[in-house]
Amino acid sequence: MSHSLPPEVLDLIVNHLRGEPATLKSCCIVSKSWIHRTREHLFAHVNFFAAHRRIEMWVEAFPDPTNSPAHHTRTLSIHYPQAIESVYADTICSFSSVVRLDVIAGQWDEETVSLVPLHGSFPALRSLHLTFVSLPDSEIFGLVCSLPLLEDLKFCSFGLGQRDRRWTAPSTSPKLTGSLNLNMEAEGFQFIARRLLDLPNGLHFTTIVVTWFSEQDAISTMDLVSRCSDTVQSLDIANSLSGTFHSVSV
Amino acid sequence: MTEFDLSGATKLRDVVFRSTRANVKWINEALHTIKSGNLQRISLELPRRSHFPIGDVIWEKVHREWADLDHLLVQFWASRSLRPKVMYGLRNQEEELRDHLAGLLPELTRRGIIDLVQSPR
Repeated sequence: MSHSLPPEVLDLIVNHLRGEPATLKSCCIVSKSWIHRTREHLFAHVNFFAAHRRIEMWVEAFPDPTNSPAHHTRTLSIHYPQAIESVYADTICSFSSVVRLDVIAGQWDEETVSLVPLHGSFPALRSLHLTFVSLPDSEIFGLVCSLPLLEDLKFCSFGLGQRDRRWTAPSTSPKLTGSLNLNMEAEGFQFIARRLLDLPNGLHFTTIVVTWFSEQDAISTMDLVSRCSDTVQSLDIANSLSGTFHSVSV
Repeated sequence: MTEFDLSGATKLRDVVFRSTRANVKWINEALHTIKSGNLQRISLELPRRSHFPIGDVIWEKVHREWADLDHLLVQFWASRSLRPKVMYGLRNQEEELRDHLAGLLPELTRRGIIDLVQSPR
């Protein structure tokens, strides 16, 4: 049947099924010529929740990273990256076409969370969403600065950042021309803002979305808006404070 | 003493202010300082009714802040033809919000120059 239809017609049919994974799975086993075009949709979004077992399963299913469907993936979610050991480095690197990465770096059972295995693994990445409890700044910004095409950043945290005494500002950084979203309790907001302001290639965000939990968050916002004054077009502020502010200028 | 200054953001087109408290002085200050000629949209997300103070003295202060905001937004409409948007979270909040708005932003409501929209955030 697949030989009786032109490939572009088959592509059109499969594209219409992109929201129907069960049908796509059935199509995937119709013939070899259907595998590639159905995998493009089946593996567009991959979630490694409770990552250790999921990555093991992925490696079992696709032992050869060069021949896996990972290159079809555009959105990758990794929950609990402590599961990503160096043995899986090749597997992570095989997701080379990912444009959006969601990482939830929670901390349970005193396991060490590390983003280092992710550094430099996503050359096409445009959007990074990072939710964490506590991470050293060198790990967060080591990841940010290893993503040359990064445009959008979203940080959520519920604890303090860990100041890394060995921290030195990186020599290069992405241009960051999209949106910045900061929703961080404790002193996390100021901590991240300070590091962003240190980035060598500056900040060029067009959209800034922030949630304030302290007056210092407001002051840090002004610093960020000031740094992006030539580019920022949209500003969205959620304010949980009851008071007013001392003079802060852009 | 309490100025929240956005005058340097010269390309600003869209501002959204969300407040979980009744105080809106910070919004008034920010709006006063906007110099961008590109501004196209002002959106507000209001605190819930239960977050408004009950005591007379505090209410008078908060009410004055809302009166200032009402006046300022009318000026934005008159000078820049900007219709402010007020966002609500749940669909069934719309009617409650309409009553709420008539008390908080009476002039905008009377002139019918305010839009209610569902919050995307």
